[in-house]
Amino acid sequence: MPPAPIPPDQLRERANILRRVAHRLDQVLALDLHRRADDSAWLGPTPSRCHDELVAMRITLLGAGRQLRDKAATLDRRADQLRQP
Amino acid sequence: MSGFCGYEPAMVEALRAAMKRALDELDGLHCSDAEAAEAMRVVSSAQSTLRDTWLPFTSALLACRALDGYQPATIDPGDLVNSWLRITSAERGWQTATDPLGSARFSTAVVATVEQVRALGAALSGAAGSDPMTTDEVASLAMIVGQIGARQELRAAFLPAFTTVGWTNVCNQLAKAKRHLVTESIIDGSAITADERLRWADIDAAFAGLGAVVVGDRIDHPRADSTLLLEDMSPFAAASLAVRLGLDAQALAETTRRVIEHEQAMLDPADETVLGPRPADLLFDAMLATPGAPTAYMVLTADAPQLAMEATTDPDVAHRLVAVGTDPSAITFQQAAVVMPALVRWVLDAREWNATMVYDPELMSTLATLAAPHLLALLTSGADSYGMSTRERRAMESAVMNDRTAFARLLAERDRVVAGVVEHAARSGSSARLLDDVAQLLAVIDSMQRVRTVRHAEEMQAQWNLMWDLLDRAAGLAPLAGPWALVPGASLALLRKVLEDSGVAPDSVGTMQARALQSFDAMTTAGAAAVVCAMFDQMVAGGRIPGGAAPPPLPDMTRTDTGSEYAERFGDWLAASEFNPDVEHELRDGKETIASTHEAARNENDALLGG
Repeated sequence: MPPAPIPPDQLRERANILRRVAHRLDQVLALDLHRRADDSAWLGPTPSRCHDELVAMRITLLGAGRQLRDKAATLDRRADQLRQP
Repeated sequence: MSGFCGYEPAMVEALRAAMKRALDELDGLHCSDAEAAEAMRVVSSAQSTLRDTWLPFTSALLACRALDGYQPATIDPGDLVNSWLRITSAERGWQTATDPLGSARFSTAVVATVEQVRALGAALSGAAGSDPMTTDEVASLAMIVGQIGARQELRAAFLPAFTTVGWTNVCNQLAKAKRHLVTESIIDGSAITADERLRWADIDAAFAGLGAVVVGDRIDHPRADSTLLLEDMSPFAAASLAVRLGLDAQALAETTRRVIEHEQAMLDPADETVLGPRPADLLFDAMLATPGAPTAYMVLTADAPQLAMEATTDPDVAHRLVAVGTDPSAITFQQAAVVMPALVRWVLDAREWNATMVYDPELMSTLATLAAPHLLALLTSGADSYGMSTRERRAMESAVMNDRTAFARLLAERDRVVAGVVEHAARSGSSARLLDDVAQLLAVIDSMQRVRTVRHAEEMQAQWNLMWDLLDRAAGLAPLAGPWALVPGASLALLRKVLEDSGVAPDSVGTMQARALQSFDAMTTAGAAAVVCAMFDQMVAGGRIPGGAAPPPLPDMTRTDTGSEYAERFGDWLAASEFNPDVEHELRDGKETIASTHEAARNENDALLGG
């Protein structure tokens, strides 16, 4: 027997949770760490590597947030489809 | 120790605290939804980066008591790679500590900043520029100056900080290092391999970058004289930079003269151990690649031809530059009239008086090559000559004629000889002048060839006589036994006569003279007949001679009296053809121009050669 379809309300609730997590990801302190690690604070090969890694971390965190919003939108679309007669 | 790390403790402490808060925040971020699994992995990775790498590093750095009570690490003013850190630390009052995790080498991915290049300029103006650079430092310099040359804002920051003394020090040490590396590669006489070339690739790249900086600055400040920088540099350093400045032909020629004069003024025995390239090797290549520069240089050094002829490691490069620079298509008659006699005088002097100073076995051949397109103007004495004295012209002609290779080279350069004559005639715009020049040139070559032929005959005759004298004397002094015994004197004389009668002996000088004159007569006639044929064709094409007219006679080259026989048949042909008087007059003139000019020029040249 195929699994029972997830009710639309449940899909919307999941989408809302994903959006909330994405919103938190957009505001985490880790996104601003690279500013504190630039050459106003320190210089050298390892500080330079630290700065680069913090910039990379920022990019992946922001990307993860975008991805969560995309997934939430997908869940919303599935809920809409289930509601349609 | 593999690098340095400079830091402001309070700011690093703030960074560490921020990292800790950020980590706590990320630790509190959870989502169990399957769709968030990937995002949670990103969060987990960020937590790991902070917790496992950078929090421990910053904590360790701040907890490190190594600086307490110990001499802080200082960066040497001569350390080029860390110059930015050194100056920044000094400006901001930072402490400096060693950084065991870092590399001392600049990453090639580093994009230079305004602050960085300003610091670099200041560092290069001090000890970093004057102390010998390591291989890494040269590579770093090449990478950074390449970026500076390409970006206006970096040039604007770099150049004011980089003093003239800095330029001199940096270029001098790079040039010195390259010359030594090249010397190491060629000292055993082997050719330079690609791997060996890589050893100075960074030096070349550094010079290219520095050149690009100057070229860029000239765009920003068109009236600036970029060659002023070269004045205090060693000649090879100046040459290495000058060839990358994109100078125009005149500026490049003037710079080359200054650099080579500087080199000649400072040559000392200590330098002789360096076999590496000389300034002219670079500069001459650059001039050969810059249209107009070789001629500009030849004109500029007419008062001192050694600056062209003696400046390169490989004389061929110098000869090529001189040949290109004095080619009639590139040099004006007035310029050549100054340059060519000076060159000829220098070569003759080098051959006669200065042979130990100027070792160049190809010198006479080179003279033949250079003189080929200027032969008439050099060897004749008319208004269109270069005005060399009789003694000089005789010396030059004899020098080429007496050197078998040089004379062969002159004949082999026939294309350039012809080009020179055409150029000479083109200046006057007269076809009659062209005929006259052709006739004169034929006569000059002809005289030289005849003298060589007669001289060769004299030598062969002398050799033949020497052999018989030796045999004659040997027969008297040490007669051999058996069948190898030499015949007595009378029989020997008889044998000689038999051999000579049967044609085994070399031709007598008289015979060779007659044969050479006969060849001259045939050449003159062939030249005259060729001119008549060309004029005839032209007149037929122009409608001045009817299409069906009988063509002019051809000379019979198999006869001993080719000239007179041709003259007779030419006269008969003219009479039978009944052309209008103008046509007849022009044809007769054309023939006579070749014949009489050739003869007159031959007589003059014979006199010059003492024939």
